[in-house]
Parts: sequence; structure tokens; C-alpha cells
Amino acid sequence: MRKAFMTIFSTAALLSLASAAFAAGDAMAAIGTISWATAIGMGLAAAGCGLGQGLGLKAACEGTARNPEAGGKITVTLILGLAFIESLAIYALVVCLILLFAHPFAKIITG
Amino acid sequence: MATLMRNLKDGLERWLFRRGYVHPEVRELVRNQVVLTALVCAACLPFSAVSTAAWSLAAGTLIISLNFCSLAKFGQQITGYGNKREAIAAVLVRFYFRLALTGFVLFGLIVWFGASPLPLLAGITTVVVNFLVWGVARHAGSKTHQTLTGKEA
Repeated sequence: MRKAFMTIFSTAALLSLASAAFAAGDAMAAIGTISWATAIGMGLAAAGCGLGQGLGLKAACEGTARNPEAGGKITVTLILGLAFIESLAIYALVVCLILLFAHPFAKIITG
Repeated sequence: MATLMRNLKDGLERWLFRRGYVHPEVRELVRNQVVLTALVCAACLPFSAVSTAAWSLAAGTLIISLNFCSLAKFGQQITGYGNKREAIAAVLVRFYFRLALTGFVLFGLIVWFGASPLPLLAGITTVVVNFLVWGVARHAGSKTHQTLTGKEA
């Protein structure tokens, strides 16, 4: 299942990005590439952070169930972990917004 | 001066306790973040009329502080969920909701109000700085230190 998903995903990514890559000189193509990059980047970041939060919470629930007396310490560590992960997602979001709306490469693209 | 600071600290702690931050260490973290936000806003807002970077930094700090306060308040009751799946679903729904809301606010700040992205990122980093300082202070303040083998020295 995972192998099939990876094959489909990489084929779709190659097909969709190839035209933009070949026409990299064109400003519109560059905008298209940036849009694709931000969409994929934000999707990956949100999915990865969601997975990380889920795994961390799962481990915290199991730890508290095994040793309820350590619940307080586990809660603090869990909140720290969740906040770190969440700030990573927000960093990715800001970087995507910068790429999309602050146009850091505008001068290079337009020459 | 020291008495005034202690009174302010105690007042803030009591206010946070009434707002639902019952866990002492979580309350300490939230208190530090609130104080840091107040300091950054007090330092930056007087210059906000002349500098985009100043109000962008204050906005970033405010956004991440609200995010963290919301997460910390909910985080205290997560481990009390009976069902692991319920807890994970609740965390994920809230995470994506907060992310969407933060995204909307950041979009508005960058696109409509022309906020400077780098100070915005610096403001968001304050929460990480708060955690690191708290962790270092806690480690330095602990009386027992563990050796590399895990035994207490």
C-alpha cells in the first residue's frame, strides 16, 4: 500500500512539476512552481506535525495509564512537546506565506 | 521593588489559576510567556508608528502566546481522557483549528497590513526561548544531577 502510494505520489509530482521546471525562465512558471512548493510544503508540515502530536499524545496516555503518579510530569513534558511541534507548523506556515505573498525572489525572477 | 514584583507575580499566578491553569508548572510557563509578551509589547508598541518591524514583532509574540495559552489550558486535561483515540482526535482537531486560525491572522498581517515577515518569525520564536530558559533554569536549580549512566551523583 505504502509502495503504491509513494509511486503514485512521486509520479504525480514529477508530471505536475516538469513543465514548470523546464520553463524556469518564465515568471508565470516560476509563480506556478512557488505555488506548488508552498502547497506541498505546508501539506507535509501539517501532516508531519499532526503525526508527531498524535504519537506524543499516545505515548503520554500510555505512560499515565501505567504510572498515574507521574501524570503531572508527563503533562508538562507533553505540553512542551506539543508547543514545540505547533511552533514548527507555524514556522512552516510563515515561510509558505513569505514565499507566496512577500515575493523574496521577485527581482531574480523578473531579472 | 522586590515586594512589588512579588505581589505582581502572585497576582498573575492567582489570575491564571482562576482562568483554569491549575497545574503549577504549566502555570509557571504560561506566566513567563505572559510576562515576556507584555515586555515585548511594551518595548515595541511605542515604535509601531515609525517601524513596521516593531509592531510585527509584537504581533508575532501575541499570536504565539495566545496559541500557547490555548494549548496549555487544554493540555492539562488531555491525559485525563479515558479513551486514547478520543484524546488524539481532540488534540488533532484543536491543532488544525488553531493552525487555520493562525494562518488566517498571519495572512491578514502579511498581505493586508504589510507586516515584516522576519520580525514576525522572531516574535513566534519567543515561545521557544521561553521554554529553553525555563528548562535551563530548572536544570540549574535541581539539586541532584544525573551522570551519563543514569545514576544520581
